[in-house]
Amino acid sequence: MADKSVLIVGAGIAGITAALRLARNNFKVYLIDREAYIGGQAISYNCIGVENCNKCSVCLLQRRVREIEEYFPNILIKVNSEIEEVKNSKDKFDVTLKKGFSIINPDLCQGCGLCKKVCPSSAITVSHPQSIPRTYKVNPENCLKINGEEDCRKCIDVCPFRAIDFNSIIKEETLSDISAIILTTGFEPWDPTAKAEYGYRENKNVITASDFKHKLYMNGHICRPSDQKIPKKIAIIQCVGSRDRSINNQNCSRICCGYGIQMGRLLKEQDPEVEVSIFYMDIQPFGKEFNKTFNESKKDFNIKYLKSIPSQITENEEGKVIIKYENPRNGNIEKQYFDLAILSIATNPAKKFGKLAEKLNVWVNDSGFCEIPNYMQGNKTNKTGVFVAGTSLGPKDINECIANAENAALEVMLYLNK
Amino acid sequence: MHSENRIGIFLCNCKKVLSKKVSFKELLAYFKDYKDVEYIEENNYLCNMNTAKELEKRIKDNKLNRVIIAACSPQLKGTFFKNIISESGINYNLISFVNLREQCAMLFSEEGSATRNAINLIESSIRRTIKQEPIKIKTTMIRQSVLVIGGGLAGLQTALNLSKLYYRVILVERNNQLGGYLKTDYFFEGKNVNYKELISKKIEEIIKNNRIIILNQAELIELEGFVGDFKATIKVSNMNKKNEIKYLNIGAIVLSTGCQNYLPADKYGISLSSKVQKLSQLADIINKKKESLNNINSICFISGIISDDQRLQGETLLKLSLKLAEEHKIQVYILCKNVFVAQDGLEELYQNARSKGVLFLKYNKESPRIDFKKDINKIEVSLYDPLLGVDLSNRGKKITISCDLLALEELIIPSTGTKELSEILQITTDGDGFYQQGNISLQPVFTNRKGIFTVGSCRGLKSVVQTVDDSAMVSLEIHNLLKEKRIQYKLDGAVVDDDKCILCLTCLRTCPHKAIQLVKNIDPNQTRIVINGLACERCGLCVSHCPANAIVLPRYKNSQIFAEII
Repeated sequence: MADKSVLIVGAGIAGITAALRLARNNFKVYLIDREAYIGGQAISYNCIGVENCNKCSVCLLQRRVREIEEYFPNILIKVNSEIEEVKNSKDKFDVTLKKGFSIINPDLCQGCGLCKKVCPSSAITVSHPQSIPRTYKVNPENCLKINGEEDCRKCIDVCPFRAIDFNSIIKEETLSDISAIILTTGFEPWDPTAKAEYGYRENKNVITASDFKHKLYMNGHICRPSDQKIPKKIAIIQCVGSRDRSINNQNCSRICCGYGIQMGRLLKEQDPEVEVSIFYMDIQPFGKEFNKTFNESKKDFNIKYLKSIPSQITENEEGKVIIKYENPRNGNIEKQYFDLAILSIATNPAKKFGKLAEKLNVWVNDSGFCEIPNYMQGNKTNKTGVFVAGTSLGPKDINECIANAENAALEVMLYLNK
Repeated sequence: MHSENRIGIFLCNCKKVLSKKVSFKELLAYFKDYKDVEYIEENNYLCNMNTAKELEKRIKDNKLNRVIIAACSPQLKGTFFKNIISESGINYNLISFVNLREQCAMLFSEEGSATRNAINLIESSIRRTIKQEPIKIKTTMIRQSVLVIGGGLAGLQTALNLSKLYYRVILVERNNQLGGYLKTDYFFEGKNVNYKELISKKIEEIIKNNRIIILNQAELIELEGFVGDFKATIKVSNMNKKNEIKYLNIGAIVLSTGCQNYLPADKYGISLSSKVQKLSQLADIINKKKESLNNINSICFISGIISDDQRLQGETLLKLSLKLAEEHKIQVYILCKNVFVAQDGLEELYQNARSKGVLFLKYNKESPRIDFKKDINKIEVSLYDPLLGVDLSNRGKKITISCDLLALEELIIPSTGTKELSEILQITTDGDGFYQQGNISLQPVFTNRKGIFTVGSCRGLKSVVQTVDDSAMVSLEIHNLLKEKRIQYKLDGAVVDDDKCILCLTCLRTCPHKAIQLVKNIDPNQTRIVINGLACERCGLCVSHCPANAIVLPRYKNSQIFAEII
């Protein structure tokens, strides 16, 4: 009796939670995402099975991603899709999706992996190790057909589902009779190249927190990008891109203190001999048991906390990172050598959220996040029938996103059951 | 009558990935004429919808009554196969899984051992599945009403949400008015929010709602029964001090008892006086007795000594100091380790307060020293601020402030009565005295007992937005539990053998989910232990603790486990 349908834009943790809750209560859900897989930002993080649970909450997402398959007919996943046009009549929406996929059609691909085996130049890879739906993609740099050899059609011939087509790239699809829309477009990590004094990209051994997570995910340990050696002295720099007048973002990004401390603990747990220093401005408590985690990191893990924000980061020929900062103990300007520097970057709203909000006539605040008219109905936008949840409203951690998405699901249920 | 065992084994080579290590030919040959095995086949891609549908046909054609799926991990596809095979009439307990991927193919480097292990696992699975019995499903009624304890924001919001989902709600509040924490003067108006107006609107809405019954000055004194059918005894005190006892039958309980402020004066080493006040007292003064601020020129706030977690104080502190500086022209000093700005709009408030002349001084390790100067009737606070310069001992610059009034930060602790209530309800609390969550992140709103939920700050401090989100979550979990009036559950919970039971009550004490009940009778022979199947979480603790071996889990009987591991 799934009669009313809801469109959820963005299949991150908030989108998936809302989708599951609505499907459980007999609504039809279209879950769309512009990437080729669902899971959003958090799927690229992973639980590092260390002795003490660091409460990264990544397990929550993986559980839900697995669960979403069970609701197959009620939740329809549409990946590689973006909203092209929205028509609003009375309380219904007609939404046109633009589906841009590169060569392998994710709707048809069953993830059998035969194409990967026959490809002579190994240009076909899984789009993401844990991606659901498990689809493959063609890397245009390696593909022989794209790079001159027109006759190569090995993958096309082998595919039992006829999912590979080098001609069709963009397709449009219209979803009609949508009763409500939930925006869960999420966040994007801030680009630290804008802060030139930290020399991100110029200095090889200066990485961001998302690079850090990605490296851990791929290798299981962290190594220096310049020479692949295991670093012994690591600096973590907080508040990069937040609470900073020079880049016009004065707001606190909330989650960075939590994940900065988590990163330190992870590094210490993998190798207790690593020296970890955290440069910070103010520690912002976050969530239950923050105190305990913070004090433990000082006492049991011996992480050094320096109340100072570096003014400059450079790198010498050996790959050592030189951090210039004011020593909080004596006020002198000092330089310290590190093997690796990790920037705890701020969260920005998704780039295309502004355009999407324009199409839907939804308010956006100065920082680029969604603006809500009523404080107590935190998920209703100014437009009737359009709801918002998760990090589209501002920085949140995984647990908060889940609670927030549940609230959005409840508001949608009450709105549609009227 | 013992019916004949007809076992069907379905092997899956997972698109030929598993056949690299496990020899499926050998498996087929070995089990073809095995005792009790009626049918065996190899598949390429068993979890494909089309192949899975053919399973049903195979089962009917061969009249199979037990099925073994030897494929990948049951965690991955277990429910999928169970759902499909159950449709063909085989009880879910008679379907067993052998993990050929993680436990055979991925485990061994050479083919021989992997195949040998696969044979062993399938053999033991056959031995076990013969001993398994079908599990019946029982249907019970579940009551469509919810008891909400505590009339703060969390309680009110949950009650409203539940009433909109068509449940009857009984709201029990200890005091004679609703509103809880937000009704006190501790909260200040934010940028575009007026907390008091907001809570008054909520209360109005609640009073108008005819699905919600409000019991003021009431307390829960006893609870019996299990999820779906709790029997609560509630004491209501009347105006003329006559207590009234009410008995209610409810389906689920929500605790929203909240938190309170507490000042551990011994940690500061000073006692409270007219010159030294709690932050919450000062808030009261500003809102009610403004004239007492006339003689005061400077106020010093101290934060961060007793706890690094100052989420609530952070907001109040900023708003308070801004108000004092703007309206009363009082010089405000804030001594802290960290300024709390991690919330919507707080950074703006912080900048605003600084521009209005509020001074923030950050001390590092050494706590500020407090001296009472009786001769000039002032309080002197001295601290070392490393950001402002250095003295010889490398502690930072020594700064001394003299002020007229000192305001101290408080701790947040669970509200009074939390412990008593947790004893009545038999639910666990955590180290700080708050209610323990079912699982720190997987089941935040659950407790150790099924049917009892927690919401809001009784589980640890929460902001207003977080509380609203949390109450949505709890309402939806309750909706999930109660939405079908008759719920079905499997009878695979622990069962007591009355003949063996010696009534030692070990299980009653052991059960972490409090699903066990002693049913008393006048005839002592009729007194017995009963385990509620709906509340039982199948953890098996009572089974292992029972000295008389009187308790069994129907799916994990000793005979079944021994058959598998012989």
